[in-house]
Formats: sequence, C-alpha cells, structure tokens
Amino acid sequence: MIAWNKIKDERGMTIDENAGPVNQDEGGDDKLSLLLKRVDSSEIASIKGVVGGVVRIINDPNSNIKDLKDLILIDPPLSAKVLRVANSAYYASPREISEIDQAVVWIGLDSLQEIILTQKISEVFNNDVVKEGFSREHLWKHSLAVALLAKMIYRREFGEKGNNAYAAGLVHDIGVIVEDQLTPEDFLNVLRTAKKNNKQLAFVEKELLGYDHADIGRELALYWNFPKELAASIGYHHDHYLGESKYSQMAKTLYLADYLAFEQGYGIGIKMPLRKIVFENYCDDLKLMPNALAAIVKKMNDEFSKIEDKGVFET
Amino acid sequence: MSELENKNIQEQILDLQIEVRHLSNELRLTKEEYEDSARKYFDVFYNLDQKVKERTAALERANQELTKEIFERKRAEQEKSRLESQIRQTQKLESIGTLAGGIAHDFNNMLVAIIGFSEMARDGLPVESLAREDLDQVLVAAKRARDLIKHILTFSRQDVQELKPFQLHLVVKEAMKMMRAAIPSTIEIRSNIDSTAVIMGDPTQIHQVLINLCTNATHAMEEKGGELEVGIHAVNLGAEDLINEKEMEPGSYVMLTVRDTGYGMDKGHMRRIFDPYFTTKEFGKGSGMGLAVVHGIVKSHGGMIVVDSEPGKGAVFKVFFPQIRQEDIIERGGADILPIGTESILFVDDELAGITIGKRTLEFLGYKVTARTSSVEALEAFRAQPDKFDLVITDQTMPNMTGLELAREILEIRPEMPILLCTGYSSLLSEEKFRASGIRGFAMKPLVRQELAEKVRAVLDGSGN
Repeated sequence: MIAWNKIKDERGMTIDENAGPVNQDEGGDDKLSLLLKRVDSSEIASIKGVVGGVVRIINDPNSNIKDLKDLILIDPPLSAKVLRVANSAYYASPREISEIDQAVVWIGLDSLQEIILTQKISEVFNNDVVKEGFSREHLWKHSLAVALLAKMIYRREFGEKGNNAYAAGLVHDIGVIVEDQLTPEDFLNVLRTAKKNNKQLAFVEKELLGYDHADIGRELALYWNFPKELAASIGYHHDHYLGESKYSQMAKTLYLADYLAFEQGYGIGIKMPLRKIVFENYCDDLKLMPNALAAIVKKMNDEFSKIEDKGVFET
Repeated sequence: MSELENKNIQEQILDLQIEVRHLSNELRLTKEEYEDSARKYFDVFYNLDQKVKERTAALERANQELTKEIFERKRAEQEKSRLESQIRQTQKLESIGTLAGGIAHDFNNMLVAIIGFSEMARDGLPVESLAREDLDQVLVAAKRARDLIKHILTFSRQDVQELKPFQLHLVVKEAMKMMRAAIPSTIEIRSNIDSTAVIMGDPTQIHQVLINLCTNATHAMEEKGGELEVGIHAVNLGAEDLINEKEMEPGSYVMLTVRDTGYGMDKGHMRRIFDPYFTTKEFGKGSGMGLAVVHGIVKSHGGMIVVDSEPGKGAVFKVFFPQIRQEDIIERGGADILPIGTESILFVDDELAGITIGKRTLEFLGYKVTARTSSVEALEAFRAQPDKFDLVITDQTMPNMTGLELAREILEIRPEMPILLCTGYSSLLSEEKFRASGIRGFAMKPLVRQELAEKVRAVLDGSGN
C-alpha cells in the first residue's frame, strides 16, 4: 500500500482534472487499514473463501475438478444455486445436471467457474436500500456488465482466456459495497456530493475520505491473497495505470469495460461524468478499434438480456 | 456507387472481419476450454481408477486376512472335533475298561475256585501220579489266566505295572511253544537265541508283545508260507542309534527280533503301523490295536521298536529293552517255603467257593479259621468276641457292607486289629486309601497259596505287604 502510494507520488501525474486530487487526505491510509480490519469481521468476508479459491484454481494450471468441487460442496446453498444456473435455459444442458462433475462435462470448467464466482459474489450485493438513486442492484448489474465486457475484450480481441478479467469485473466495485456496508454515513455523504457536483465517485471519496473505493478493492484483493494482476486492475480502474507494466493490459481493459458499462447505461444509479481522453488513450494502447468494441458491446447487450435466464439476479 | 455507400460497404467489411476474428477467437478458446475440461474430467476418472485400485487392494488384503481367519477357525473346529472324538474314544475305552474290570472280577472269583481246588486236589495226590502232573498244568494255565486278567486291568485302568527282573529268553521260549501249536505248517519257525540277558519288566506283557509280532508275521506269510525267525541278541546302542529316542540312554540292550519272509510293506505303511486303529488287514481280521499296544508296552519298558521292510521282501521288527546287570537283580529266596502260623483268623467272603478254598488253605497252613459269607455276620461274630481273632481277612466287594466298611467297624472296636483286604477289581479304592483306613494288608484276587501264606504272615508280623 505504501509502495503503491510512493509510485503514485513519484509519478504525480494527472491527465484530466477529474482524475482526482494528487494530494491525499492525511490519515487516509490509517482509516483504510482500519476499514479493512472491519471488513474481515463483516459478512463481506464470507465470500473470501470461495472467491479466493476459484481465482486460485483459475490461475493454477495443475488444479483439477476435485479442487473446484471441494470448494463449493462445503457451501450447500451455493452448490444448489450453481446447479440451478447450470440447468437454466441459458446453458441449454441436454439433460438434468445433478452433480458438479456433470456440470463440468456439459457446460465446461470455465463456465462453471464463472457461475460459481457470479453466484458467490452476488451474495454481498443483497440487502438493498436505495440511496440517492444508488442501489446495490444497480451496482451488481454494473459489475456484471463490466465482467462480461472485460471477459469479451480478452477473449474476442486478445484471444486469451477471460476468467481473470471476468473475476476482476465482478469485484472491481467491491469497495463501494464496503463503504455502503461499513461506513454508510460517509458513503451517503459521498453519494450526495458526487450527485450535487456531478463528480466521479472516486474523486469525491478521495476528497472527503482520503481513499476511494478502488483503493479499498485493491487492498482487499491483496489482503485476500488474490493475484496481483487482479488487485492492480481493481486499484486503477478509475485512474491512469501507474503500476507494473505486466499488469497494465488487465487494468486498462477493466477501465475500458467500466467506461463502456456506464456509457451503455449499466451505471450505479447516479449519473457519472466519463473521461473520454483516458478511454481513447487506452484503446490506442491496447490496439482496440472502435468497431471492434462496438461489436463487443452489442454482444454484451445480447448476453445481458439472456443473463436473466441464468438466474443471476435471483439472489 | 456513391462514396457514402462505398464507405458503408467498407465499414460492413470491417465489421465482418471483426466478427470473423471475434468468432474464431471464441471458437478456439471454447475448444481449448472444453479440451481442458475433458482432460480434467478424465483426470478425475483416472484418479478414481487409481482410488478404485487402491481400494480394491485394501479390500483384497482384508479378504486375505478374513480367509486366513476363516482357515484358522476351520482348523480350530477340526481340532475341536478331533479332540471331541478323542474324548469319545477315551470314554468308550473307559467304559470298555469298566466292563472288562467287572468281567475280570467275576472271572477272578472263578479262578479262585479253579486255583484253590486244583492246588488242594493236587496236594492230595501222590507225588508221582499222572493226575498230579495234569493238575500242575491246570495250575500253570490258571495262573497265566490270572496274569492275563491282571493285564486287562492294568490296561483298562492304566495301573502301574509290576516290573520285575526276568530272563527274556525264558518268556520267548514259552511264547514260541504256544505259537508252534497255532502256526500252520507252511511256516517254518526258527529261533536264534544267543543271549540270556535279564531285563526289567512284566513277563506277561512281553509275552503279549511277542505273540502280537508273531501273529502279524504269520498273517504276512499265510498265503505263500515262509520262515519266521525269532532272535535274542545282546547289543550296544550308541547315541547315534538313539537320535529319535530322547528318553533312552546309550548302553547295553537286549534285542528281540521277529523276522518274516512275507509280503512286507512300503514306507508309507511303515510310518503308520504303530498308530492306533491302523490296519492293513481286511475288516474283522485285525483291530489295528496290536502294534499300538506293542509300541505302548515297549515304551513303558524303556525300550524302542523299529521296523525294517520292503514290499515283497518280508519284514523285521527289532525290539530293544534295556539290559540290567546281574547285581541289580534281587534274589527272591525261599519262594517255595510256605510261611505258616497258628493264629485265629476271621475269614469273610460272600462267594462260597472263595470261603471254602480260603478256609481250607488257611487251615492247611495251620491257622484257626472262622469263616463268614456276609460282612454283617462277620461283624456280629467279631463284636461277640473281639479278642478271639488275631487277623481279619475280608473280601472288598460284598453286598450290604463292603470290606472297607467292615474294616472300619472292626477298627472302631479294636483299633489295632490286623486286617487283610482282598480285592479282585475296584476302581474306587486305592491301596493308599486302604492304608489310610488302618488296613494293614492288601491282596489282589485270586490268591494262590504261596501268596496268601506270605501276606497273612506279613500282616500278622506287622510288616505289611
């Protein structure tokens, strides 16, 4: 965390005045670490085991089906949900899937991992209370859209597997949930300020709290031993990427996916200003043509309409 | 074509190119993912296979252990049933023993009459008379019969046998005499005796050993005839000769050999011939006990028996007995002198023959005899005049009151009263028990005159027997 700040301070560069203040509120780090400790004893931590486990399996070439099975069989409600989704119209399984083994055969290991992550992470988006237009349901749909977009960019444009990008998309705004859950008054204040000033959430958070929800998400990801690539991309999904270059593809993709989600109307319930300059820079960096992104967005919208069939909103 | 249309077409082409690229990427990744899934799925199956193998191996081990356990249990059951049949056999033998004992008792009483009356009849005849010689022969046979009964009792009750020193060749010669009469003329009998060594043992049993061996030899030569040779030789056995006989020590032995020229036997038979109930003879011809008995007798004499045979080449049985030195033999001097006396004796026996012979024998020896045929009467007679008698001779087996009970009653009246108890057969009473009851003497029926005279004298003189 300190190292990250150091890098940021050394570079100290901003491209857009909306990118957020360089000078941080002193004591933001302390408040952040206190917040993280509180997360660990909150219900948000309940997803740590399964999500961390699936992410680890995704990134371990020697993992096997048994690892995945062991992970979700200790969570019977999750197993039930996973099987329900696996049996949904979306996957059009030729026969009733009653075992995780069968799910592997009919829908594939990658899809299964996706379902598990989606179902587990959706749990922390429950208990919704609408605040200033913001709702966890909006945030969850936004997260799903970002996950789908990030995955599709990876698969369709980079020709790489998109599991990590999908996972990153689902958890990229977990910091918002942390704020909503653990510092609801601060969060309400942030929401009001952002709405009133038409500022980005992260910008207002930095101003008022000394940290933003991306910081929370990044620290949480590191704290939960998620891969560094994941933590880095979560941490920079509102800023210019300043971290290690080997993680830049994921971070920039997540930024683009976040941008596209807002642009397509998968927002968080309150209007946010978009920074087109950064977006265009990243598109150039990643050699993504507008037509290609347009095709992906179209595909994402198709998926999203079908996604209801997966039962992902039935949390 | 307008510029706009052209641009549109170019856009469309671009979009199509993008779509193709996107779809081919999706297709490739999906294919990879499914391959990966399938591989991992079969990995699980492979692991399952491995686990099945491990589990199967574990089950096989358990199964083997179970099989072993079952085998051991079966063996234990077999052992149990073997022991049970052994118990049944023992019980059968016991009941046979009891029966034999009972018969022996009755038979003894008859022998008492035969021996007693023969002796008295003989004594009344002139020394040179033919009748006296005939009666001598009757007495020899009767004494042999008495010995045989004692032998039956020894076997049926596993009694301690009476061992005494005797010259083996004398018993052999006597047995050979008997065999000559029984063996068919197609079998030639030879004896090859070059030792008159003395052994310690029971002559009747040794007699039986020889008869059994000779009978077997005869059976082996019954069809074709042959040669039966009985020999006695003095031999020295070294440690190497006695490897299988741990109870025997190297030294001087007397070897009794019985050789035949019959059909012989193979090694399989040789191993088993001393087992009880093993027989090569047809049903009804042999009990299978003959050689087992021989083996038992030889072992009880501290000896051993070996057999050498080949099919068609006859067989030779060699029996070894420890030879005893001349100085070990205690001379039984004065056996022919009858100890006599004039004391008053109360004689009790429920058998009339026993009473008659006993009374006449004792009177012949000089004693004054009061005879009673019932223990109750005898007790009355004693109670009337306790001091009249110097000795009470009583039979053990009597109705109403046994000899032992009578003895107790008498000892109540006169604790120092000398009592001689005669018994033919009794499995309940031991000599120790008699002695504990205060009975001074103990004699096995039937008593010949010599023995009776000696026992009576010994009890009267207080030296017991």
